[in-house]
Amino acid sequence: MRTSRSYRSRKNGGWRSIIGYRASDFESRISELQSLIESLEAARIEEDRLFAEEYRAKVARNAKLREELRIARETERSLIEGQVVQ
Amino acid sequence: MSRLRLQINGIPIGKGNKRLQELKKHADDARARLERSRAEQSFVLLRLDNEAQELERQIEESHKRSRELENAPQDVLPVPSETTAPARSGRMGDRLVAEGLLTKAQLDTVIARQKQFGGRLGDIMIDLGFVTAEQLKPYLQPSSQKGRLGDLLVEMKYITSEQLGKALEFQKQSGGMLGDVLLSLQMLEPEQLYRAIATQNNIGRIGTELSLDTQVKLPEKIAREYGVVIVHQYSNRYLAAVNAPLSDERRSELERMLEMPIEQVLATHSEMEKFWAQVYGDEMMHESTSKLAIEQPHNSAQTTFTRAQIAVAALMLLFLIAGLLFDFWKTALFVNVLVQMFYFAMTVFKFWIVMLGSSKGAQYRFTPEELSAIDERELPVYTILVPMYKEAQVLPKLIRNLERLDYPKAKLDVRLLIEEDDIEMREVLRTMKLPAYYTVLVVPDSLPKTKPKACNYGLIRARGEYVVIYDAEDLPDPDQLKKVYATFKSCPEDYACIQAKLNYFNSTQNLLTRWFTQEYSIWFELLLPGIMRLDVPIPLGGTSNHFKLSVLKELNAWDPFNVTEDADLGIRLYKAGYKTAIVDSRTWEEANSRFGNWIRQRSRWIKGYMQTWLVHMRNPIRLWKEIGPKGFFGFQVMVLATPALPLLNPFFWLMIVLWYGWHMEFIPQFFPGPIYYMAAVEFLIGNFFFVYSNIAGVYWVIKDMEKKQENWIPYSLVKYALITPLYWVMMSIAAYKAAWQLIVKPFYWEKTTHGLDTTSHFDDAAPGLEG
Repeated sequence: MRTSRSYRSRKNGGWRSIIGYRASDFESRISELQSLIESLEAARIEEDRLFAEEYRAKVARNAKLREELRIARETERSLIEGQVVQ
Repeated sequence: MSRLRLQINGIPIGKGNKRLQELKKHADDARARLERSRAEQSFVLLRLDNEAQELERQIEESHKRSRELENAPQDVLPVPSETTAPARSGRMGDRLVAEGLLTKAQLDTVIARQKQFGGRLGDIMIDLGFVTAEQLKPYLQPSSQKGRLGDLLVEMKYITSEQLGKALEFQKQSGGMLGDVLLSLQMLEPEQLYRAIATQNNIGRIGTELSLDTQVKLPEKIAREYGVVIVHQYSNRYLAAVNAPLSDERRSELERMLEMPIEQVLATHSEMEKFWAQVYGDEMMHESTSKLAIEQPHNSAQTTFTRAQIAVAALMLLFLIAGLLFDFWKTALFVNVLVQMFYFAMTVFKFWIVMLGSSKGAQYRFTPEELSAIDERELPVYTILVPMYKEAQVLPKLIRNLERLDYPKAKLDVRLLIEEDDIEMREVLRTMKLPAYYTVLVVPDSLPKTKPKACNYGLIRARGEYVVIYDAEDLPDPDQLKKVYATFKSCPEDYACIQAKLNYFNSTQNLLTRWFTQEYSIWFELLLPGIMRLDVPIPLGGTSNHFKLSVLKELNAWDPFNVTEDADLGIRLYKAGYKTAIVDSRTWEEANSRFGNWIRQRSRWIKGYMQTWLVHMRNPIRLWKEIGPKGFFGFQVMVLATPALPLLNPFFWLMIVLWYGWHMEFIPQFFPGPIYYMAAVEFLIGNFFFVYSNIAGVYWVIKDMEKKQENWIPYSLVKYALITPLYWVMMSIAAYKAAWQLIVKPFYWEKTTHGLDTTSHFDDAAPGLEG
C-alpha cells in the first residue's frame, strides 16, 4: 500500500493516525509500546526482588540493633543496681 | 482505493487505532504500577532506616550513661524504699530519681528527648526502656475525668478565677472557643493554653527544640484532612503534631494508614504553620502557583497570547496593511468609523451604568441599629489576608487599623504574608509581639513573584468561613466585617463576593491624589454599584473584596500570573455563575502621590486588564455562551475599554492639535458627515459626561460622609475635576507602558511604594471615623 508524500510529510496533523499512515509506522509504534510495557513489567519484577532482599537485610539489621539495645540497657540496669546494692 | 486506505496489513484502521490506544493505556498502567510500587517500597525502607537510626541513637546514649555510671562515685543513688509508698509530691521525674527507679543521667536523657521532639515524659521513659508501665503507674496523676479547660487553667495558675469569669462572660456574648477568647483578651500565652489543652486531653506538647528530622510524611491531602504533621519516628510509633486532639476514630484510621501507632503532640497555630511549611512547602508552592494553570488552563494567564490569538491579530494586521496600501483613505475612514462607534457605545453604556449606580438599592446598606442587632455568637471565623512586601514602616499602622475592627477577635484569623527575601519585614516581625490571632507566613521565593501567589499561599490553611484581602496601608471602616456578614445573610446563596468601596485618606495631599480620589469615587461609588444592578461581570477592586472561602477554593482562587488578579477573579466568579454585591462600607487607602510611582501602579493595572481580556477572549463564542450577550457586552465595556481608550486617545488628541493648530487638510477626510456629528457629540457631550461624573462621584462621597458625620474629603476637591483631561494623558502614558510590558514582561509585578502620605491626619484621627 502506498500513501501520498504529502500525507507522510505532515508532522502534527491527525492524518498520520487515521488515513495515510504507513504500515511500518503503525507496526513500529505497536512494537515500541509492547516492548515498553515488557520493560516496565520487567523493571517492576526486578525492583520487587531487590526490595525483598533489601527489606530482609534491613529487618535483620534492626533486629540486631534491638538486641544490642537490650544488652546495653541490661548492662546499664545492672550497673545501676550494682551501685544501689553497694 | 478507499478500501485500501482504511486498512493496514489487513487490519482495519479503526481496529488498529483501538489496539494502539489499548497498548498506550497498558503502558500508562504499567508505569503507574511501577511508580506506586517504588513509592510504597521506599516508604517501607525509609521507615526501617528511621527505626535503625533511633535504635543506634538509644544504644549510643545507653553506652554513654553506662560509662558515666562506671566512673561515677559509688553513693550517688539512693536505696529504693520497699516499705513506703512513692512520694506524691514533686515532679514525676524527680520522684522517680528519688525512688531509685531512674538515674539522674536517664532523667536528663528523657527531658532532652522531650525537648527535642515532645510527648509525655512517662511515654518516653517507657520507650527508652528505663521503666515499665507498671513501675510508672503509681507516679502518674489520675486522669479519670476530662475536666473543664477553664478550671484546669485556674488550677495550673495560668489565669485567675476573675479572669476566667470575665472570659466566660465574653464568650457568652460573642461565642467562640474559650481558649481563643482568652488569647484574644491577652490573658494567657498560646504556650500556656496548649499545655493546658494537652494536659486536659492526656497528650503531650510538641518539643520546644524540635527540628524536623523525619522524612516520613503523609500525603498532603490526608495530612490536611486530618490536620496532622508527622514530626518524628520513634522505633515503635510516630509522633504526630496536631492543633486539636484527634478523635479515637480518626486516630485509628491514621494508624491503619501508617501501619504503626501514633502519639499525638499538641502544637499551637503558629507552630503548626511552621511545620506545615517545612514539610509541605513544595506542595503549597505548587498549589499557589500552578493549580489554576493545570486544572483550568483556559482561565490562566500563564500563556499571554495563544497561537490562535496571534494568528488572528496577524491576519487583521495584514488586512489593515493591505487595505491601507490598496486605498489608504477608505481604510483609515473605516477604522475611524469602528473606533467612533466603540467610543460612542462605551460612553452611552457608562452613562447608563452611572445612572443605575446612583439609584437606590445599588449598594447594600445597614443602619447602626441593624448592625448592633447581629448576634455575635453567630459570627463565623473571618480570615484576613494581608500580603506585604518591604512595608515594614506601615506595620504598626496596619496592626492598629485591624485592631479597630468591630468583630470578636477570637474569631479572626489574620495572616500576614511576607516574601522570603524581605529580610527587613521578617526581622521586624520576629521582634514584634503580635496578638495570638495573627499568623506570619513566609512565602518562599519563586516565580511569579506576585501578590496573587502570596494570597493563594495564605489561603491554603485559612480557617475562616469568609476571607478578605487588605493591603498593608488599608484602613477599613470598623464595622465592615459585620456589614459584609449582614450582606451575605441578606443575599441569595449564589452571592459569593462582597466588594467594599475603596477611597483615599490622603486625597488632599497633591493634585495627583485629588484626581485619584475623584477616579476612585466614581468607580466604587457609582460604576461598580451600577454594574451590580445591571448584573454583568464586575472587575473587583484590589482589596476589601470579601469571599466565601469555599467558593474561592472551588475556583482555584487567584491567578498568580495575572497582575490584576482581582479583576480577573471577578470575571471568573461571574462565569461560574456566582454574583458579587457592593456593600456601603469604605476602606481608606493611600493614594499614590508621586508621578513615577503612579505610572508604575497604573501600568500594572492596565496590563492586568489586557491579560484578563486576552484570557477570557481566547474563545469569544464560548465566553458569549457562558455569560450571555449582556455579560459579554459588559465585559467589553469594563475590561476592554479600560486599556483600549487610553491607547486610542492620543491619536485623536493629536488630530485636534493638528486641526486647531495648523488646519491640516487631511483631518476632515476622517470625519465625513455623520461621523463628524458622532465624534462631535462624543467630544463635547462625552467629555462633559466624564468630567461631570467625576464631580458627581466626589460629591456623592462627600454627601454620604456628611450623613455619617465624617468630613475627610473636602468640597474643594470638586473643582479639580475640571482639569481631569490632564489625568487622562497620564493614563495614556501608563497604557503604552503596559502594552509594551505585556509583550516583554507579562508577569512582572510593578511594585507600588506605600507610606508616602504626608497628610497623616488619619494617624491620630482614625477613631473619628467610628462616629
